[in-house]
Amino acid sequence: MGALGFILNAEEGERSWRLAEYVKRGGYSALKKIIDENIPPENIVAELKKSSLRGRGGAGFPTGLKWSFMPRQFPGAKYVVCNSDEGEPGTFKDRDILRWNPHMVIEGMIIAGYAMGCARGYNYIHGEIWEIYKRFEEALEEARAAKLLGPNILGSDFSFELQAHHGYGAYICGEETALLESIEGKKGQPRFKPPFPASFGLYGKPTTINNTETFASIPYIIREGGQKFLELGRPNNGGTKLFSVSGHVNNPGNFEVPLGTPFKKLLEMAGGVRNGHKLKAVIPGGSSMPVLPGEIMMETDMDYDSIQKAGSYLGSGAVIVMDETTCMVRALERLSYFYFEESCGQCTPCREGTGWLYRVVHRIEKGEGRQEDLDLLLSVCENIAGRTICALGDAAAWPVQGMLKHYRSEFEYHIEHKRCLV
Amino acid sequence: MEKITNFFKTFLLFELVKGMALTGRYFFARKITVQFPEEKTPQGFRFRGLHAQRRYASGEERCIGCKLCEAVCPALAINIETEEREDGTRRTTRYDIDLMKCIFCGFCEESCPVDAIVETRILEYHGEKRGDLYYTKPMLLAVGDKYEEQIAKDRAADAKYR
Amino acid sequence: MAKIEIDGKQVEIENGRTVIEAAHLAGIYIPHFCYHKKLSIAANCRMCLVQVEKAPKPLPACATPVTDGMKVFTASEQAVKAQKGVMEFLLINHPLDCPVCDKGGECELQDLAVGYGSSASRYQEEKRMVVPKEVGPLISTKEMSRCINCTRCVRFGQEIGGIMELGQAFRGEHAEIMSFVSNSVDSELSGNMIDLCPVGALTSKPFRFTARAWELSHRRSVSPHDSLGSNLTVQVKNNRVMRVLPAENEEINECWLSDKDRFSYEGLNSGERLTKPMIKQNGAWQEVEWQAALEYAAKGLRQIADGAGAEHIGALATPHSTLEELYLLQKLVRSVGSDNVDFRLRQSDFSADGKQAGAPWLGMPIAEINTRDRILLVGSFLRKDHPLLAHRARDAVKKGAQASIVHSADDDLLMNVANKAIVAPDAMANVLAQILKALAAEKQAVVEASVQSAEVGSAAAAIAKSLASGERVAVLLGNFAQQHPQAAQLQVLGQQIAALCGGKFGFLGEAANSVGGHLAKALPRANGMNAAAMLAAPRKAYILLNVEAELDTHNPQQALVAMKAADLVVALSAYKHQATDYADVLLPIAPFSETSGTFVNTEGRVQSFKGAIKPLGEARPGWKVLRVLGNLLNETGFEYDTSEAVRDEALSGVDVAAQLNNAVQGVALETAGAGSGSLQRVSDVPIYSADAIVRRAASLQNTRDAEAPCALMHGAELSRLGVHAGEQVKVSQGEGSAILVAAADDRLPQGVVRVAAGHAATAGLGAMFGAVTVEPITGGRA
Repeated sequence: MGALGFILNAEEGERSWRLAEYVKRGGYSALKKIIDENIPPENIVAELKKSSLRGRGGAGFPTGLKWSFMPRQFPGAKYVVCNSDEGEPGTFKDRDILRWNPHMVIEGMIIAGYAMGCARGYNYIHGEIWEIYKRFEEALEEARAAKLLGPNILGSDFSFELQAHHGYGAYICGEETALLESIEGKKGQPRFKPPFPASFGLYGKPTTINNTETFASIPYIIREGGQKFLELGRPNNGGTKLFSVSGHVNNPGNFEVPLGTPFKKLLEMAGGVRNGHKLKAVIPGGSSMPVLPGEIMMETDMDYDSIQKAGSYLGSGAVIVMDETTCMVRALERLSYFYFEESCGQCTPCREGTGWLYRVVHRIEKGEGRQEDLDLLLSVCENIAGRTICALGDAAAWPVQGMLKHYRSEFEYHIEHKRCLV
Repeated sequence: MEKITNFFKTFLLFELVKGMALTGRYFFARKITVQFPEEKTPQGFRFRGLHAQRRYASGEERCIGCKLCEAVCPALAINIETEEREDGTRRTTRYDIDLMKCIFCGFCEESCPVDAIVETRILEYHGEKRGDLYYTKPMLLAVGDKYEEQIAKDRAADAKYR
Repeated sequence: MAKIEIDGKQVEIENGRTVIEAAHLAGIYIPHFCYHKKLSIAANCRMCLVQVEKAPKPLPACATPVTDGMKVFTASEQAVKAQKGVMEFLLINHPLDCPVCDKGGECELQDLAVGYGSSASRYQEEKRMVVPKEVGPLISTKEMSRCINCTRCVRFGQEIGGIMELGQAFRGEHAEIMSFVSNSVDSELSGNMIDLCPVGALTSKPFRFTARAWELSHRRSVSPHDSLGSNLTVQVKNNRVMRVLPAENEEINECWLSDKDRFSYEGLNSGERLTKPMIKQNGAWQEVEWQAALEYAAKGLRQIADGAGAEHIGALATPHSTLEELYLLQKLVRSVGSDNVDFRLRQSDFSADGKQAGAPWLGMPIAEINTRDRILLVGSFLRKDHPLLAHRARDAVKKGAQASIVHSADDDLLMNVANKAIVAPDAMANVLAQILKALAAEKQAVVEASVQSAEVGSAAAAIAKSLASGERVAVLLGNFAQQHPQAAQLQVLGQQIAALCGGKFGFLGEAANSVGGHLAKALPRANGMNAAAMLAAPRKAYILLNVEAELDTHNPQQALVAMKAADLVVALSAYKHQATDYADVLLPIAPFSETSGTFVNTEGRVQSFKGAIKPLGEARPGWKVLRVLGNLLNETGFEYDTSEAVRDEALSGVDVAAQLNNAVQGVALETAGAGSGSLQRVSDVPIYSADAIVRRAASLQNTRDAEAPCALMHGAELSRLGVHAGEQVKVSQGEGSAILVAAADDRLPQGVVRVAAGHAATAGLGAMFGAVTVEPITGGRA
């Protein structure tokens, strides 16, 4: 169990997610503190800025800054939305937070509602984790019964209503504006920005959207102070982070470690590469991020800035480990297929380009590739990245660019010999 | 001096000799006259003669009624009308070429996206009345059907230059 | 205002506008597909990507708001590279079959591909294929594979048409535009989606594959159908109208066209066109020369004028006739000494005649409808009678206006209606009186005693409250209100309601020349007979201009009796029609596309047009026929050379603007409530039955709006009659009856049966309003 205790150890029991257990662990004390001491909302945002908490969903945008964008004096409704639509291959942290610690997210969202003056919140939960959605609903009921949610929370004049909303499994609904469209009952397609959700969000009202893990980090920051949170990690990379380690490791799973922990140590925690194989490559931040060769990763620390320096992004913290037996062409084919299938079809480069990328990679994998295909892939990627409404276009292009940067020779081998190098 | 030369030229029949020399040279040279119609000059595969409408091997007419030939024709010799056939494709109900207007520039076959209108190697056609040279769709198709083999060969020969 | 620089040009534009608008202002073209000035911004095609100084990535010009000092480069290396990249993506799955495509030659994608596409494709994988769907008789979606998913059609449905009939289903590369589960597209504005489609995915079914864009000559014209006077581009080839497209006029039809205006041209090429003058001799029709036909008609008219008297001659014209035709018709009739001329064929209440201050009109410019904040619609099938005015009202409602309706039917207007009073026709005047009374109470004004006696119901009170709070009120009387037997009452009440709110009062004119007929004086003066009177008291001779007696009149039964009893019926018509039963002379005249003429639309705009093509066969422009008929009757003053000369004479000394006046004086109010107790008829004129041309437009006749008329009744009314929906019933009115299928419509008030007029199936019935009986037919299940 890490410092924040996102996930509880199994021995704490199946009931550990219940309200009573959570309160025993110090839960809702941050909320109580705010209500009792009548802390002004500005101070909460200031505390967040001090903690240098960065969004845990993938982009790593400073949360305190994001919260300060919400118009303070706005007549009418404002919303706070939690993005638990975790659909990126390799990422499985939010579901564990919600499975073992739903109240932590609820508390974080209530505090967010308090800090930004929102009376209503929604938690959009991925459609393929139904039992977790059910559990979250139960947790909400508990919180409502304990007067932690609803009108006049803990006897104060602050009211906040929170509802869960489950999607149907579309990856694109994890994009914040597509998620808003989906909550509104429309087809999940990203909106063009600007206007940003902070000015025109859910139902056209100012809205703040954060990742589950971000909200779950809030109570600790309020309870222990932003400085302490910051000190858990590194400057500009405060706190601990959940890493979902998957792939060719002996002990895959979620690991909560302070930001800045060396990858080597994380790999050790996950039991090392399976069967004593050699590490070949790592995707450090979920399938949409560029791949990095094992050697580079072994020298890198797990925080936003270090990984960016190494040539990739921390993303959602989904670490996909590949050993020497992995065919990179096959791996890329699978990734490209995912983005081809999950493109929403709204804007041209992504709708047309993802299919093109997949088909070419698929052809190479089948042994029907041509040498000029590799430059074609890079050129198509260049035409997709940065030209789309949302980041899915980038997400489809980066893995291709990353793979070709580090493993071009393997692709060339595949084209020439019509079979895998490994 | 000039007077003297002229004097001798006149008396020695110099011009006559010169003329006869030319006659003699051509008398023995290789003849190039072609005995048309018994003999014919060679034709290139791009020869632009009488028009034809082609069909696919299935018997389906090639023409899709796009009217590009009508639009490009500099002599306004082509006249097309179209409608939607039962199977939902556009087909011509009328495809006329007025050969009296045609200048055989070949733009029509060049513009045709499906190689439907082509110019054949036929040049010895005639009409007894002016109206005889107003070719309608069935006439053009008949030409195409008759000479398809030659047309296909010529298209194949030209293919690599297109 | 923001000052920005585009490609080195300085532009000043209000804040909040987008880069593409600024570029258009500066005369710089930015390639685009999904952007359309009248639709919301989708930014999904990405074709308009431009370079903006300090922005790391190219930005879509259509969705990027201008900021002061912005520097935009539309043709820089970065911008062009982005645009070419997008073009390549658009083309990889687009079938490159331009020669087959109906859009070829006028295709936005084709045009831009010339500039931004490369000559060979790098895409060598399989192309996407979309299975074609059927969406009705007007739009062909056979080639949906060509769709580039710009969603203009979808947005048009949502934002302009008021109903989303096409949507984007599925996602990613599998995304496709389709209607909802095999539904057809039934909007009366659906044809605009064809114009909007930047590729050949949505094409016009009637026009499909009949001509190519470059073969067509474009001629400007004006719609002869509803009173909007939409501007048309009539496209012709070989002296035949091949299709009709909108001509943009921001003040009238913007860039839209209703399906009626767009597809009615098929009626112009109908096989029913009359192409030779004909005379009935000994009961048999004979084609004759013009000279013979005209002399026959002139002789017959002269005989009746000299014998029985000129007052035995009556002239009827449809309000779809041109100003010139109407003017010459009345001049002709008056020159022989009769005053019996009228064009208000579906009107039944003429009690306001002689009390009107001027020609009834919209009461405001058309474009002002969008700016109203309260709209009271009285007796209007707005969507079907005036599709584009409905769009303007919808726009006003979207901007926050409250719409209220008083009507005898509650058809979906595809907009939010704040309040409605749906009552039987004979209760409509009373409801207006209630509204007036409640409004007077709100405004502390005094009203007449007859109004004071009305008991204000909740609906009327709500409408009054809504109107009272408005700043820019419009009270509009629709076709139904004008055809109503108490039309004058409704007019007075509407006028007073509008006056109390300080708002505008107007009529949604029925036809293209409803205002023009007044300006042409084609209606009786003091001692003449109006349309209803002429038919109620049969004349010895009739001159019919474009009239189909059984379809265009208020009471077809009466009209047919009158026609059959007449000694001489001279029918000027573009079509062979039922007139063969009762007419003696058929004179083929040209429809709007083949004659020059003038229509005065409902806002009083005088729009003249030239003939787009030559008249078909022996048909001649109506004004010429009437002119020669005048000559043959030895009357003077018919020496016109051009239709312009006729128009100038008709409008000489007429200040059109001053003539437009809805005020009526001296009509006594009688606003007693309903009381007849018997079943009342409510009639609409179905959108594609309204005039002779649309009735013959084959594709429009296959739409759902042109389905055979039913006897629509409230469910309770059906069970009272012991009839089930779907069963046949006999609807009787006066002497005649019609066998119709009964259908339930619980939005109708009880005590009424809605039976369409203007349709052959109901032509045996009597007046459009009044008592009818409905009986079940035993064993008559349809």
